[in-house]
Amino acid sequence: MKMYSSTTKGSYRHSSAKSQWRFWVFLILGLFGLGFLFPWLMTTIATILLYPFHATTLWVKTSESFLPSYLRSQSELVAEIETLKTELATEVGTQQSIKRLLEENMQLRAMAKAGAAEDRFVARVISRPGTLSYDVLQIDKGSRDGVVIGAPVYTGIDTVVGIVVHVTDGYSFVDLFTSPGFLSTAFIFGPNVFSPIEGMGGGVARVKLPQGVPLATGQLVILPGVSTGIYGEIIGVQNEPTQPEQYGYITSPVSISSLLYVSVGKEVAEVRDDIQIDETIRKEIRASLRVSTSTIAEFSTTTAGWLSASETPALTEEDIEMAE
Amino acid sequence: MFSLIRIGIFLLLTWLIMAQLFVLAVPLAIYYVLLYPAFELIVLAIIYDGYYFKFYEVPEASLLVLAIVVLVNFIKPRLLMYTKDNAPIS
Repeated sequence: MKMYSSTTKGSYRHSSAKSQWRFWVFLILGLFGLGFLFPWLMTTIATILLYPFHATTLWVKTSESFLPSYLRSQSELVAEIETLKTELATEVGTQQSIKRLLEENMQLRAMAKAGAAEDRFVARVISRPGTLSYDVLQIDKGSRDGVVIGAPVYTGIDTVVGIVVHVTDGYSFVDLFTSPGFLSTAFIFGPNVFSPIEGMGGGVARVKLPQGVPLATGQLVILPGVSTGIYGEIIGVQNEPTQPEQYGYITSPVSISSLLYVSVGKEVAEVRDDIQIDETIRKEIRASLRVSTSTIAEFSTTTAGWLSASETPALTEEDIEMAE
Repeated sequence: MFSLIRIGIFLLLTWLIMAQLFVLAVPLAIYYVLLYPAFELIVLAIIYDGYYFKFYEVPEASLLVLAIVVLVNFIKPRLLMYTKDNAPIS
């Protein structure tokens, strides 16, 4: 008679694992076979087995009880916050785009208005002092578009910032009034005085006035050499009582680094000194006083005989003076 | 054979799959497969495919889970670490 079991602990574990494997293999193969052979049956079984889970899911998703409502509202709020964040970011981007387009539109309108009034055209700034040496702008219009050396360059309607100094076919360089060494004459509103203005670089120019002239920040400065050329305003005054002179520092109201469009005058701002101006005015006045050549010819009594009006040379000023 | 924790995780996993919360279900399933033999997941996948009429086409979930479970159970013994007494570190 057999008094002991031949099954040891190790062999029991081994056989147990083996039977487990066998169980799972048979179950899985059976389910697969059932599914492939009778899919409708598998669907029915699955529906019955998963019904509690389905019902629970439905309860969580649709019930008005406290817990599902709380979970749902929390998740919905989180989702809503995410949606609102996205919308806000989009809206901010859209607003920025609109603002940028609006500013650009206003700039272009101002340029177009200025151009219509004073025979200018709009140019786009393609390089500025940040990327170019000294206080120089590069614009995308050149001699092909009618840019000439000496033409004034404006921002807005009447703020002149510089003069075209170099022209190629497709682009031009504008020397800003703030370029180091640039010298001109400015008129300062307030004290209403003329003053030499010199460029200091970095978008700053300086006017020099004797002590006693009421120079203050905020006073407008124009460059009378350029028509309607308001340059900017005084942003700082350096006044040391022991010195004979005081200085006012000027910047353009528009930051040079933010310039996108400028307008270029088609006419060169000619600078004349007082002697030239006197000479020009004198010539014009004399020309207006000049007697008609035909009349002189008709009453001419020289020995050269009668000359027809068409053959009569124009009398010069010297002739008039001699006649007088 | 099954501990309560194992049963609990399995039920939770089933519910997450039914609620289609796969973001939570997938990591939990991976954890489950690494921790247990997880043959019951194959059964669950077969039932899931049956529930969604996938046996009229190809039961993709079942085949995928079958492959993963078999592969992980094949690899797992080779990833075990042993002590000096040749006992596996759990």
